[in-house]
Amino acid sequence: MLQLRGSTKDFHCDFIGHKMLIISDDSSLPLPLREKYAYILKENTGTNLPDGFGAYISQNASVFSTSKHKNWFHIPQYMDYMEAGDIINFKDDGSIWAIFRSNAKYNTFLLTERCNHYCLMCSQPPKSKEDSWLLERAMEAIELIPRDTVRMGFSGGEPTIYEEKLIDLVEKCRGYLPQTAIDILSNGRAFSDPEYARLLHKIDHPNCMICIPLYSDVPEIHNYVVQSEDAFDETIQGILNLKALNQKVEIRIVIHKQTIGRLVETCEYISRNLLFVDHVALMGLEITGFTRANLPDLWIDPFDYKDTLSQAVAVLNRNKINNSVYNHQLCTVNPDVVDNYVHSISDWKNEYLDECNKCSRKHECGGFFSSQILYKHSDHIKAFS
Amino acid sequence: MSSSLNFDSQCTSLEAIKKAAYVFSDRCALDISENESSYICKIIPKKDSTIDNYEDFEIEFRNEVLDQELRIEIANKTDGVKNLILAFAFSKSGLSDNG
Amino acid sequence: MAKFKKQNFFENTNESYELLPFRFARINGRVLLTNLVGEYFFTKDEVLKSLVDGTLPNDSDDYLNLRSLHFICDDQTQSAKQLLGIKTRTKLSNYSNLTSLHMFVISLRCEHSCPYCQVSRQSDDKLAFDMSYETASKAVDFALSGPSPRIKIEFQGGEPLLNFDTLKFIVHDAKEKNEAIGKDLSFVIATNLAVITDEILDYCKLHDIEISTSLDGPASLHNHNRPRPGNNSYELATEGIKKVREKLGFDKVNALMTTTDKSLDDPRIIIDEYLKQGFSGIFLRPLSPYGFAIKTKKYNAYGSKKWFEFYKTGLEYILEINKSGVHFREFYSATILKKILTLKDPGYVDLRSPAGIGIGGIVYNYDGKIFASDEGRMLAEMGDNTFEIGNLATDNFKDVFLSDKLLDPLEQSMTTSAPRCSECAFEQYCGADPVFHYATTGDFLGKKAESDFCYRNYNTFSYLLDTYDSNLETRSIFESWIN
Repeated sequence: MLQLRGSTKDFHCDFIGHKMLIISDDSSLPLPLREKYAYILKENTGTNLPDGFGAYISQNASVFSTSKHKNWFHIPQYMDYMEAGDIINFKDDGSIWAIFRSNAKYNTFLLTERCNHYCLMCSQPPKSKEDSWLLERAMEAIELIPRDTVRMGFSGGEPTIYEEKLIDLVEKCRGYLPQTAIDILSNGRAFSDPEYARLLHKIDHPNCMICIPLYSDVPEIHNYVVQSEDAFDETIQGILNLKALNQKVEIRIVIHKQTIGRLVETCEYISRNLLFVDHVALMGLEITGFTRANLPDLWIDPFDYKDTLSQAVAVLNRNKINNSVYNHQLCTVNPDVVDNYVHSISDWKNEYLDECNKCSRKHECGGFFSSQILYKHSDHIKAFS
Repeated sequence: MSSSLNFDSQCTSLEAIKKAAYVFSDRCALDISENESSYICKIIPKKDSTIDNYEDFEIEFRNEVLDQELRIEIANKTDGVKNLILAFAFSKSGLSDNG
Repeated sequence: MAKFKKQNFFENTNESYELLPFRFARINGRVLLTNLVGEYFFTKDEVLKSLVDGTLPNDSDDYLNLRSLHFICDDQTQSAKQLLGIKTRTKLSNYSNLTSLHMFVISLRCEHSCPYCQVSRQSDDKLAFDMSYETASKAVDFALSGPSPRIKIEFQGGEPLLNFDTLKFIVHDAKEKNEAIGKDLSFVIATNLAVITDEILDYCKLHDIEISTSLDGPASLHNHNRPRPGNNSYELATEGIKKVREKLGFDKVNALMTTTDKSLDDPRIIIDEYLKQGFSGIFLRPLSPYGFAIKTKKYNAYGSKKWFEFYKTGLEYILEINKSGVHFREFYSATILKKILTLKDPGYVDLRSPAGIGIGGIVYNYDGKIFASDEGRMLAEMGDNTFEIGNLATDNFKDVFLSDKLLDPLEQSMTTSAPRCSECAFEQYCGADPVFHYATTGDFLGKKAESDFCYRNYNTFSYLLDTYDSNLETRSIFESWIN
């Protein structure tokens, strides 16, 4: 698993607060552009550092011992994945944050850790501390993100906590990155206010999707999973208001012991009442955050529910609702969901067990979350011959 | 074997009896009259159909009256919300073209 | 330390719930409930009584399912009302595009003399019984002037291929006029294939025209139903099917059966014939009363009861075929199941309320008269022009579609307000048939307690739903038919 945030004691900077830069390895980058970039010195290049860059970074600390440059950072070994095109936020206390990775298939921006829900399986446990600087960083990053980025996401906590400021973020994306599709993960409840939905609609972003969890057709179950009374109706209302204004909506269902019992009924409910949603994501459990604390109430071996999963996918397919199965290993699902099976969408995955090394379909399989390798995974992992 | 069915007018609604009569109108007609305490339904079978067993017929008919009473009760309890739902369906608000 | 509230904290503490509109029917010892938009639920009598009394326990599975299915709602699910409104609107919006099927009767002439046919003329008098280019052109204008984005032009008769010239004229005229309009145009010829030639086939291939023909069963049955000089209707039809498949493509020809009294004897031999001819399914068509009741006066002899037995036997036989691994559909059942299980309109004009006459399909007769349906045209041939809704010489689209001649039968036959229909558990799946009821009783609505249309539909819906719900193997076969 990649560590996106790190720090170094070996650095020098002349700025106060933070500086966000794009990594470059191009020593002949035109001079006027260089101040937006951090020059990365890889192991075997010469020690003659080109002038004018916003900062200089290297894994090799000795490079900077004789340097005249004011802003340089010695990158810790665990951040050696950094490369040209990545957007890094440097702080005056030596902390380094890889906020955007050019090589990642998908980048997600954490906008806040505050949330009005408290999901049993939350992978980003809520904190109440004021953290709007996260939104500010994201807004800054938008100006630096390459325009050919295909898709990226914004999550939390609950991003709608920012009210109009979140809408401003969508507007900025539209302005700076008109070709980039954006996903916003939200419990959708703020959109139960039609005025808020209208604000989003007015921005007219060409490809913005709100990804909203709906864990059951039974309100009591949904409310229990998200730990909030009255969540269900407001969530439905939010979805309806967004669709009434032609906004894209994805419904997310995390599959675990509390949601598996009525997974098929929930998909039937969606097929009857929310037929117009743009996508349904059926997701396997990540063993981080609150999941570990609630594991006995949540854990069910995916192998044991694979037939139910097949049924659920069949219901959605039959009703021609686009759907995908995420975060499962190929040997834990039935062949009939393979058409809807997705590798993975983040760098938190693509780890494998020893058993997987003998597997003939390893390259088709998404593998595991590192948290699953570490803490809990299916007992039925078996290589395909 | 009786060709007349009586219903206690305190417990049974005339509307339910009439509706039940309509259900059986392919087989018979009912002549309905009323006294102080009952509705009296005289069964007039249709020419080209026969009611072989009046006991079975009575059971069928009485059950149908009960079902019609149930339908009336459901309608009373739901007509209001039905109008609300239809009003929404025909309003301009909410979902536009979900083609 | 994170504090999580237990499941019982989120329990439904409501003592009461609200009933949402629903209807019920008793089928095979169970009770079927259907809600405002036709979503269904099978249950027991005690549950129904408890449900209506307001005593259904809110932690029972029945409660949870009935609430998700929008038979009840409580303070956790007020969104149910809005959702029902949206679903109602979705169902109704299926009708907003109006007429998509336009039937052009381009000739009454026919070399067959089928006893149940009212319209055809054994004649060579083209002037008397063929549609002129002038009338055809007006019909094309009329068809293209409506709001439907999709127009299917179906050539009928008599035998439409006997007036191939007008057929070609219409195809050319429609395509030319449609260039400026941009509708999705398609063509199909309803022909007995007895007079098909290579020239006609080439033309159909060039213009992507499909063929719909009659196949009543094996030779003995088919030729008995459909006499012609030489008594070779079956041979010509099956040869014609081969030719169309070779020239136009395997799926470019479909076949329909006409269900006569003789057909009702054994559906299996008809199904076997369709299998033999390589068709992917069959439409077990309901009886039409017009040919029988009116011309031969034999309708009541093999009315709806016998047809229903025919249908059940046929369907069971087809299910066995499917279980043996052969994918073979029964299209009538598939159409009904699509109505029951989805909010989509399967486009079957005979099972719609408001009725499909005029607003689903429309007929332009050879002489310029406009009819609300094919059956309406047949009634006119027998002297009753109740369903003649206009004339191409004098009327435009608006004249016809706003006329009382069309609106009266539509309005009076609507099931939402009809006695029996308005309380029927199957009303959301059913339709109105003002032509049938008018032909058999003299009024557009009819009396459903005595109506063969009602008998047939009520029993078909009961049977299909009960079977779908209680047998998993059959259910998956049915589901494969409605995709």
